[in-house]
Amino acid sequence: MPFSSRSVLFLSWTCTVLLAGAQCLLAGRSFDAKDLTELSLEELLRVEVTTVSRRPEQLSRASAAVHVITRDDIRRSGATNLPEVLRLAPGLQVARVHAHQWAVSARGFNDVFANKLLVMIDGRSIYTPLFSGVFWDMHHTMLEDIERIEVIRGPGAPLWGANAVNGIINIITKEARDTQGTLVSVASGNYEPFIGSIRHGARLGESSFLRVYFNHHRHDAFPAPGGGDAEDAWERAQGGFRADWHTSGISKLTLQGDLYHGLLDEAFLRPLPDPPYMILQPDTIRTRGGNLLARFSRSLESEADVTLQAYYDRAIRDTAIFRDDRHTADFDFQHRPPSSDRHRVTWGGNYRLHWDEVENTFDVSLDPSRKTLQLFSLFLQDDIEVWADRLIVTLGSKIEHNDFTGFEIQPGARLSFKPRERHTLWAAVSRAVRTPSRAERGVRINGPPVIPVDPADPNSPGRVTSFFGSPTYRSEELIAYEAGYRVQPLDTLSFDVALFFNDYDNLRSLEPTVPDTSAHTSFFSANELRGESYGLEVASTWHPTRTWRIHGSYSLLRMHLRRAPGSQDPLTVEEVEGSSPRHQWLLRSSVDLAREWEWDTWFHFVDELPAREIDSYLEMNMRLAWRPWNDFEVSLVGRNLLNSRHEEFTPSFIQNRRAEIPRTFYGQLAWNF
Amino acid sequence: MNSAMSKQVSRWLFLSIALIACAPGSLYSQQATEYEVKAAFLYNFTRFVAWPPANQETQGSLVIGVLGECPLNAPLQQATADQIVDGRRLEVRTGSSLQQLGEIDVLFISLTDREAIRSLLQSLEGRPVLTVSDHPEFTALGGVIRFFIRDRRVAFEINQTAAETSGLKISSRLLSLAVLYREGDRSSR
Repeated sequence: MPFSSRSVLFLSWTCTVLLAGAQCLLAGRSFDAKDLTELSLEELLRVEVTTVSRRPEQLSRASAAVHVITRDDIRRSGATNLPEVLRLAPGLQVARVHAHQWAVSARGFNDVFANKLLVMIDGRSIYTPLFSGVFWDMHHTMLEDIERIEVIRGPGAPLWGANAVNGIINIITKEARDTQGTLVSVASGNYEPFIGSIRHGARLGESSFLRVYFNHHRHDAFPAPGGGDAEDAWERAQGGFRADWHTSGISKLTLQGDLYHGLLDEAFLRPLPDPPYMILQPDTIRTRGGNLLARFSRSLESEADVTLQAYYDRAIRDTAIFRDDRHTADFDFQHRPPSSDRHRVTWGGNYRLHWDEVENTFDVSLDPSRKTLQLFSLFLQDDIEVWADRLIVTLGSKIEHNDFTGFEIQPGARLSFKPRERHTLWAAVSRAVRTPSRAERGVRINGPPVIPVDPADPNSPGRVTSFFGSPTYRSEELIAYEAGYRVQPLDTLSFDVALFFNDYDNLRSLEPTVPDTSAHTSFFSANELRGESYGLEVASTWHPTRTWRIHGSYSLLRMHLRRAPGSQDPLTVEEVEGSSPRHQWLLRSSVDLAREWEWDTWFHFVDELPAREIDSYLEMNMRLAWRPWNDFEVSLVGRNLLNSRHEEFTPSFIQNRRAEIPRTFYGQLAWNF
Repeated sequence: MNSAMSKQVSRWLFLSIALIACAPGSLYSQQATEYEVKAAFLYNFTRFVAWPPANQETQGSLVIGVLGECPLNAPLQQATADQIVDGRRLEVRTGSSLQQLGEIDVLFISLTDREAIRSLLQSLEGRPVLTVSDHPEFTALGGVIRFFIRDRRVAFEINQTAAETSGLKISSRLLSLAVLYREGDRSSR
């Protein structure tokens, strides 16, 4: 394979040379935080602080259901993949289908091709307009370099636009200046023979910083139900950099980029028009891609600021049944004028250009095979302080134009009320749309089961089951009603409660092309479902002692969908309702034993998924870490300790081999110098 | 599954680690929490502010009061432990009202309610108390020193008029490092 020898080597040597060069450039001052009082005033003014940054502070008063996964949470979770980290957030549904496939959604509608969640890494959207969802096995970032993950349940469409229907996941990596020095981490375990990361941060000037990283991950195949392995082993290499320039504390320029390559085994069940009607074809999916992003922000007088951002992203996914080559160019502008007496206005615009080229097969094809899509949008939001420091009303709307459905308007109104210190009540009503994906407009998927035309004849040709996109497919619509309460009754105890009622219209149905017969073997996408979902999410954090933290959360989700009059859809209602767990809870204990030890235990319960014949399960993860020196850490992690193996989800549309998620262990060495 | 790739990568990793391990030692910049730095500043303020002589005579120790629940307490206790400024021992008191705190020289106000701060400052009017807070409108409300975060460092703003009316003399050294508050500078939100 040409990549494995050449590109990896090239990437490797580039990184090595950069790292070596960076070593020479290293210059800077380190402050001893132990006795700051010995520093002069001038020195004190230069000490960087790990401040609770502006945004999370605002988030504590935000009028939305927000959960922040901190870098500490990520490290202590023992997770080795991004979707596994997301299990920490309440109100999300995260299920692993096999070694490199996940289904992730917020507030229901979970599926491998879940399509109501917006996911971003440093302001770069990673959902694909192919199906309006995320290929979780393509996108990665070094978990050690993540500053925090903001998980917003509920629509964020007034600010973020289409696809921010049921939730937003905003992954924010650390600034280059927070990743100075060198980090080397190596892990190995029973299903992950090698995970290696190396990152080096250097100072380029008085206030400009750079980091480069390289990460390699190998994963063995998981067991298949009924024996054997699921033929889902994988391997991935990724490298990248981030550079930040600060000028005089008011302007900031960030340049960052990544390159990746993955080889992902997958066994596809492919339909045949003749007996035996179906074959299992092992394949190795090749994923390749990269991105480059530049962001400039400048603080102006009176809390005003302006941000400009541009990025380019390329993602290629090459499989035996489909090849997708996708380019995205995105330009974003955001401005906050000086805040007046009561108003805090934010407005901005975005232009996104997608162009793709696909290679079709009998199994999966897209019509047309090349397409360019443009998206324009403008948003305006005003935070109005109605009652000083008590009541803030936020009004906003996004107006966007896409090539499929034209103009879409997505307004929202929110209010946040602080009756007294440490209590925040909030409520919101918003409209969001999920615009059609490429697939919903023009896909043809031929899949099993294949039904013999003449069941009596063993040599009879068969009819494959087909799903077609439709050129008349429209946007799905949501009106969401939400409310929440955040309270901190004690210094050591906090609660966060959110309630929601979502009213959906024009949801995707799969209508049989030949209605009123029992032999449905082909379907087309239509907007003939509607329904409601409602639920409750509670999260709490308690610090019984300075060295012990307990975090718990519970999520309740109910979904009631129904067909519009005239719809013949035989399957979707039951499938959607039965693919997201009704109850989920999580309990996490983090203990610092003495100074050098960390001990984390994590239980999570996920209710049954009747549509997928998945039983409810309770699982436990545990991590023990020892830090004999400040910069060196040894850790042992065990995951899924309560069951030797079990299924969490099943494939949709594209039939690949099912897998069971086994008990896994790994050990990790990390040092930072 | 792709041993060529793995081999290359492990070889590279080995090389990189060897290279970096041999390189001259790098500096691992340590950071402090926001409130550790603020505590160190508070300690420093006591050295660069002169109180009217009456304060020194009537009170033995130099008292820093902290009003409201605040993560400053622990680092401030540490920063001021066994410290003596101008012959006066530093003492930290915490409380939820002025009455509880008693006679104080420095007051750190950790409240977010603008009106509460305003009335508190009014009741302190004319008393030689160095008031400090991180409320964004503190200096506009008549407080003396306001902490804020600029470029991820702690900075401070001084309202000289407020200091003078309280009878405090702030050294020019401290003033030279501060952002000076002038009335009408900021639109009050």
